[in-house]
Amino acid sequence: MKEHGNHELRDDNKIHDAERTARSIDLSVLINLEEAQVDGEPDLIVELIDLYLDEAPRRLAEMAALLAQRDWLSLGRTAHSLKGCSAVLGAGRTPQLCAAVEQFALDNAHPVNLDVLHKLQEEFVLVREAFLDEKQRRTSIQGQ
Amino acid sequence: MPRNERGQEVSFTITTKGSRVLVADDDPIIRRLITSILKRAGCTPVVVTDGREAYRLLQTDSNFKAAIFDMLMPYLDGIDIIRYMHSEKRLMRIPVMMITSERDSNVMTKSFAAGATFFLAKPFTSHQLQTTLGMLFNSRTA
Repeated sequence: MKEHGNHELRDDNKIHDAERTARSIDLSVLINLEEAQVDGEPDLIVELIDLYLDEAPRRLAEMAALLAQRDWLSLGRTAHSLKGCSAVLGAGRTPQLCAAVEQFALDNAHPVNLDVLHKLQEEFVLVREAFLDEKQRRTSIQGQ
Repeated sequence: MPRNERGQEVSFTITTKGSRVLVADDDPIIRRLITSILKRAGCTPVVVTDGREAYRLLQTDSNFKAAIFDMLMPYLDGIDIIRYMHSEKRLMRIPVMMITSERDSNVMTKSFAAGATFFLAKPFTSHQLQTTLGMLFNSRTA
């Protein structure tokens, strides 16, 4: 009985992971990118996730530094860049939030709203977890 | 996939097999995605990470079937590279696809005015990229 209970718990966790992933990222976007997979090469989606999880925090840190320096032009370009790759990978609300930062930065008359940057960082925490769940799922399927 | 005059799907892998395609993008995610699609199409991607690198390469190498540039890049933007290419006879024939997440129609107009052959807005699907590549290879300039 106890073992049965553990199975149920594990199943519940899997359901929660799947729900969390579905909420934070658009899985249909990733599935669509599978078309670009080259036969015999490592899983493209896993590679793209790894690249994004490496790149996005760097861009977020850069944006915070550029905001402190009040370098609006560079801030706008960095937000624009993160917006593009986030949209291509279906990274939740990140593209919309980046667009908001870009707009603030491009319009020199209005200082960048710090709150948007905070929201962007909070969103990345969710997106990161969801991408890691998806990476884990794909890696375990390939290992079977 | 592009279709022929009889409405049949035509793969462009045959005509592009081994063709060198210049890719200039500062984003490693987009670079990786484009590289994968080009390899699937049988092309040889030649990848650089910014506009200056693309400019330097094009000064000595014009052996490209096509080029794909990001609009905004460090040092030199995609549009600057296209302008340079159109000032050199040996580079003029290379069709260029411009990629950007910019939705402003002025940006698109500027790109075409500078000489871009196709314009692909982010986010794009792998199918959209593949189809645009097919059109790029079959374009008049190629």
